[in-house]
Amino acid sequence: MSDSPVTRATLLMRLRDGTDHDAWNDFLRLYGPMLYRFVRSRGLQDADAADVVQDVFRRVGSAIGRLEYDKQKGGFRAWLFTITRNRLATFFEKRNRAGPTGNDTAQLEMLSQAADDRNELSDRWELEHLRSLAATAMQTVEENSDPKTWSAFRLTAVEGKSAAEAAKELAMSPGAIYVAKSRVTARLRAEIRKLQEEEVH
Amino acid sequence: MALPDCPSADQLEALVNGTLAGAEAADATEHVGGCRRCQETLDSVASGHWGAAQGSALAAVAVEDLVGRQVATAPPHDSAYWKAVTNVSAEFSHAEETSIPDATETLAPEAGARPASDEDAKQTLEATNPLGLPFLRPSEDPAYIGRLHHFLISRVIGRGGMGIVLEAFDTHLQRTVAIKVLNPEYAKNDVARQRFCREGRAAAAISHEHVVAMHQVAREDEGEVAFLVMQYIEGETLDARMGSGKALPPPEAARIAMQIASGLSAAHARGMVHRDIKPANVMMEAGTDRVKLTDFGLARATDDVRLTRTGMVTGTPLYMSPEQATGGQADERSDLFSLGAVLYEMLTGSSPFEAPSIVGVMKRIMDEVPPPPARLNPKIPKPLSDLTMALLEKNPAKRPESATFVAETLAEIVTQFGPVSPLHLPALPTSPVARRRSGSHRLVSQKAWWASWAAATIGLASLIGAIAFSVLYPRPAAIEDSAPPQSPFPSTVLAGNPGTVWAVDFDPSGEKLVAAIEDGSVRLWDVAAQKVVRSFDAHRGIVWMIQYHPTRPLVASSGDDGYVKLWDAQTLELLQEWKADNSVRKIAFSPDGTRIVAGDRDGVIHVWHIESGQPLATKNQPGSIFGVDWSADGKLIASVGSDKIVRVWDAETLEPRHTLHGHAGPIYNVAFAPSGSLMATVGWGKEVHLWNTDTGAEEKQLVGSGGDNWSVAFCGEGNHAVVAGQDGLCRIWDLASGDLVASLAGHDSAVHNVSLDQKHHRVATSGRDGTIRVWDLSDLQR
Repeated sequence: MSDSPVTRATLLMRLRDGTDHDAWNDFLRLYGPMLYRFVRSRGLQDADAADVVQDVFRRVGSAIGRLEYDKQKGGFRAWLFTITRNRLATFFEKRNRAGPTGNDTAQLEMLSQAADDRNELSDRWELEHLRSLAATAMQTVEENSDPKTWSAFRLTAVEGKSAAEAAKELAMSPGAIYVAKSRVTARLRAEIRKLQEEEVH
Repeated sequence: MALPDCPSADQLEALVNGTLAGAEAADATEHVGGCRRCQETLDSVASGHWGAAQGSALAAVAVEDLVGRQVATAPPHDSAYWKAVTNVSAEFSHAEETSIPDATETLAPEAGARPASDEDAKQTLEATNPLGLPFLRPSEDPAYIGRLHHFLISRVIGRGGMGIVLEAFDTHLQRTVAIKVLNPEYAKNDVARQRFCREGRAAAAISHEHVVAMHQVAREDEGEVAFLVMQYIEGETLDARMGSGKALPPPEAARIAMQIASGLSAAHARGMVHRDIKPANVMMEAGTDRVKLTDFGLARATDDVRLTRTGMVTGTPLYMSPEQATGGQADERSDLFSLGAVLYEMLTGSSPFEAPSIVGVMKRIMDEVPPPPARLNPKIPKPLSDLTMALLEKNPAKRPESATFVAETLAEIVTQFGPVSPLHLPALPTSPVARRRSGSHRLVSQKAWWASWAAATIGLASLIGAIAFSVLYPRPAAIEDSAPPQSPFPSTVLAGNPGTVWAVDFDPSGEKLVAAIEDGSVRLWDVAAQKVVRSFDAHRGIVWMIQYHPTRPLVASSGDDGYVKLWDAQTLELLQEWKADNSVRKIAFSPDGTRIVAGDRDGVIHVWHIESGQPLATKNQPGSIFGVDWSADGKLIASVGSDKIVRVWDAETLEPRHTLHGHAGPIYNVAFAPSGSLMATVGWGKEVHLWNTDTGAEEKQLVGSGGDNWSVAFCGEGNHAVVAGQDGLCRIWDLASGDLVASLAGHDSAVHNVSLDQKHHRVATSGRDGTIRVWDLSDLQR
């Protein structure tokens, strides 16, 4: 299934429907990895992160019916952020009781700030979200790019090779690699913007 | 590296967009291959900023940071994440198959396993409710109007702009509380709700006798109603007290203002601003008449909503500072202005800026200086009038420098009026941090001016020394003396513990103390900072006893669950646990620290070896054991309990040595003197019994208690006995003379336990009121 913007835009409605089989799978696929990465970025081990993410999923499942339609853009994401923050806070509180570490205390403090405050936590959340959008956008861009240009982008931006290495591998000049990479990046940016505009709300 | 003829920014942009002509594009591409600067320009032209991320830290994110393999991949294939996804996936499809329309209900049993979630799952809203409290669930007990989580709601105390205040009974902790529910009108606004909860959480950090203790902040997510659980204060508001517009007697006004300032100083020390000091937010506790400030910071939660909706702050601006009235930032000094407006009204009977309309009031706040109170009523002392006017300075920088300073100044003024109950003198933060904070951003000249003003008008001699004492001498006459012969004992209050504090113990340094609390938790307090360093769940049910090991960094606790637990005093890691047959009220270490004795509700004495954990001896006695102690020479163990008999045992064999009769009722505690053969017991009845453990004879009875006594301890030299009383006083007797030397007054109700910090001559008392008080008795020692 392709991740067209429509999929994302209608996801919330489909989730609320409660009988849409695929909606949950789409939700898990679209938001799961970013939730996992975000939770890991708080310093959690794999098993703990999986537990927290599972809790978040369950809460979304039990509470989605109460989320209102008429939210401004980004409402769903903000809502998901709140749930995630709360699950994390519960996790750290629980662990704190067993004996806190410096990291836990700092995390709890950050979690207890309001969601509208800019801090490393919310920046990280936005970054992970952007990454998730980028992953979706990449599929569209790849389909619409010339394979060689795409390869130049993939080798450098995704696989982290130097322009010289990529140039050698693709038999292109380093300048052409740079230009190819920047062209795909620009398209990616446009695609991400489109996704942001049609973001679920 | 950079070539002299780099392509222009426009050309590079065209290159990215593919709109540069063939030859030009080829040249530019060739150039970019070798020019670091143009590569960077190209990158930034291409990525720009990432859409909605404008202005945030994300604007500068490189594309590699978004799509790179290192950062943007799915969880590894062996991650527990995949199992979680499978679990959830299965649950969701199951929900669908059983075709229950509301996913909430289906998931409830699953979620119920996790305590944090179950309250959210049972979101069944009652459609109609005569009281307009749709968030209440019906209560099975007709005595209550409804239920909210585990709180039984008995009545609506009041409704304000911000929310509804309910009186409720906490069924978990078995106490009455006040619950503030955010007005449903604001509850739909996420910002207001988050603010509400955030301010509530911040307020929970303030523990001070003049601030209403915040017990709990309810979860704010997923449509759950947001509410705060607070200490229930029986009494009236200052608003009601002033009622008919009559002025209060100046000493009364000064005393109330002093306590408001004292509460503010505690909040300011934590960087919290009240923002809405007004008579309706000042509670006067019935009985003690003590001031309790409420609604810290909450004004902020609703102001946003009002402002955005109407462009105008509504409500009462009568006590608002000029900077707030003009929409500026409120800080500590704004609270001082509001305090000034409240004090002015208390002294004169009318608000300084009264006007027929809101706009009129705000205009007056900004432009007019009211006549000094002393001019309206000559009975108002000039220093008090001057202080009021100084608080009402339009320019924040010209107001007194801190709430602490105002409280101190008012304390001096209050004592000028004549005898005053020490109960009414405030506790001020002793933390040096607070003083540094409050002074750092004030004008030095202003500070100096104030200091000299204070010195000139009221005498600076005892300005600092006079704060924060509360002591009652046995002879009331002593208070009437214009120059008290004894110096009072200052106390520090560690408040806001979640329930009765059954036991307390200083750590060997005297800097920290541990507290055993009825909700099953143990708290580690930093005494000087008045802060909780650690809090953890130690027992199921009440924690009865907590005690540091005599020589090693260990701490032992005992609980209603029948466990005796040994913790690492640093990491608070559980090292060892023993299970008695029933609830363990008291434990004691052997003086050499190798063994521990516990007495349980079934009347069994247990002695365990610390290192090996092995049981060494047990003994049965009739009834329940309430107290045990180990003699200083290590040879004897004493036990007391419900059978009214004091029993002294051989510590090795638990063979009986003495069976002492003399108590008329149950005995709550026993203590051996630090040397010699003296032993003290207390319990039901007012007498403190002193026994000779060599002869088994009763040596003396100390009389003067107001009621039963819960606990007794000896000072380091063994010449004083410190006794915790049911009547809320902690009494100190001189053992040589048998005289009552001092009574430490401050606890609202029964004092349960005492601990002595020998090094600094301090006593810590813990009580039913949920507070711990630390008293400095240095003067008594001299």
